[in-house]
Amino acid sequence: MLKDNKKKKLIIVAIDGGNFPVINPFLEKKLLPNLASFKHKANLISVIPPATAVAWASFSTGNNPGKTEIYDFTLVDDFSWKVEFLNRKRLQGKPLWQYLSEAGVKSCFINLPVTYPPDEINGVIVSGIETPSTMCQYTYPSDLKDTLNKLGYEIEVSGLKEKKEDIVEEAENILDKRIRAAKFLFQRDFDFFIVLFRASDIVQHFAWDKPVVEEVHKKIDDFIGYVRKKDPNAEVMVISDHGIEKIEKVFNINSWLEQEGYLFTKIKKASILSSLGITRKNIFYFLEKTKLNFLIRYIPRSLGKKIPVENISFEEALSTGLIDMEKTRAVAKRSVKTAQIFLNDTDRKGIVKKEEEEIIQKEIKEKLEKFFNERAIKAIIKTKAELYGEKARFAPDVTLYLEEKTYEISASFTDKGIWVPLGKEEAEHCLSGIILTNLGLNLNNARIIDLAPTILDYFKVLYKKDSFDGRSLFDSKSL
Amino acid sequence: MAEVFLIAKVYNFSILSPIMKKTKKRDENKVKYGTISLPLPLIDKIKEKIKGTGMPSVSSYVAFVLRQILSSSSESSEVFDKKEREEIKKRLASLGY
Repeated sequence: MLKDNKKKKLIIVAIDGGNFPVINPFLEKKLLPNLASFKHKANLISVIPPATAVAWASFSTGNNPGKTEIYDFTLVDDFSWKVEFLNRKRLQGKPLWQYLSEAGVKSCFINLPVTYPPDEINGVIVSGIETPSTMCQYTYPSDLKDTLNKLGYEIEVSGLKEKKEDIVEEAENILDKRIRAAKFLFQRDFDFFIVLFRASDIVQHFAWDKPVVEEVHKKIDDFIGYVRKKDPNAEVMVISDHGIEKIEKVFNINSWLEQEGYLFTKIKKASILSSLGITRKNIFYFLEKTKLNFLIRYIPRSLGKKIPVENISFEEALSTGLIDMEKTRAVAKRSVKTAQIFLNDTDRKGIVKKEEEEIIQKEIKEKLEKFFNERAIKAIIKTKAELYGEKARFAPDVTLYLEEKTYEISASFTDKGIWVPLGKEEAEHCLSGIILTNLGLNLNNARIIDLAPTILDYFKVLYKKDSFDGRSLFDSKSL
Repeated sequence: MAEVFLIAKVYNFSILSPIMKKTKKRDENKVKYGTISLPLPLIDKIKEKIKGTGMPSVSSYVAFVLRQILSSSSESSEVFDKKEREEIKKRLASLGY
């Protein structure tokens, strides 16, 4: 509790996708003086999958995804094939902002994922990526919204741009606006302040080798310089949610499941139609763009079956009835470098019986292990119980994380087989993020789940040790 | 606190005798029931609540409510309308998520 013994402020600058292989060359060129000045620099290990929202949910609660129940941006129901977007209400476990608020620590959380709709706290929350738009009530206190909107605040790229260059430009503009808003909010009285800059991740995804990556890091470095100048006594820390690496090869999990006899689609593959560019995907987008998508239901089933499959997403496959649920035993969705395989079990009104679930999970795991071992590709393959715990809800039955550098996962439904061409993205997340601090922390094997108890220890907020999967980095014992 | 066992409802074969044949077949797949204990005042409150609603028993009501909670644990947490879902979908798709 903060009273007589008031700690100095703790400020966390979060660089989405921040990683040393990219930052170190900039440090060597002395381009990032503020990042360079930290005494301690270490890797911060993310969670599986190392997706932005999943990692921040684990940061906020100090727990692994099996307890946060945030496994990706979209979550599959345990009792149907319903797929939903994450939001604050889906996050399980007590988040950092509640612990701090209850202990009288005044906080400011800017742009963290899984915070929309924002909780009422002692301080400020400006919600992150899952916020639909700045028209929504995305701030606590609510009147802050109008102030931020007047400052031209934007939350995330619009999704209206298709070209990589346009997305990058949008991300850069939003970074400027976020910095302006963060500087504005920094003038308020806080004990704890955290802001997440997403642009670093977006530009690395879409412009891996381009100068814009350096530019974005420089802007964030300048912001660190700004907060230090404004409050020289404050403790500043830099973290990232995951790293990011260049990708070259893409493994398609649903093609593999189909080849192994776990997945069946209703559509006839590679036909003359696809050579003419008539694919379900093209028709789908044509109808959507021309606002004629209601016509989909009028396409005769027999004709629909003849239209070939090309790059249809998991969600589209479910909603269009592409998957033959009467024969399919397993189907996968993609997360970053990760395949999340779900069984078509009886809870989902499917064909896999309760007693078969564990057997099929193990069978898929073993077959994938064999496949990747034979090709000397490093992969982490775990069943639900192994990775997320026996009781985990909404978790995939089997998870495949491609640890091997340059490898990415696709779960689209395609005619192109197991190895598919690279998409728009040039780089994809990996487990090694970063932590830069001047505090005397034990950074051996530091993990993103360790930060919640560490921050609570910093403010001397009491908590039960078993509340977190993570351990406080103030503890001297290494893992 | 006083507690009482809620004994799960079982089929009454005398009432169902005209369709016994069908019932027998169904009986093979019949769900097995267990017992749970609830505080008596809570049971009284439930009895009051279900009066005149057509809900046959406290057990049926409790099972109904629990099923709702279990099967739609995500439903209650849905915060986006259709338009918002489309906006987020487009954004995530453009980001490659």
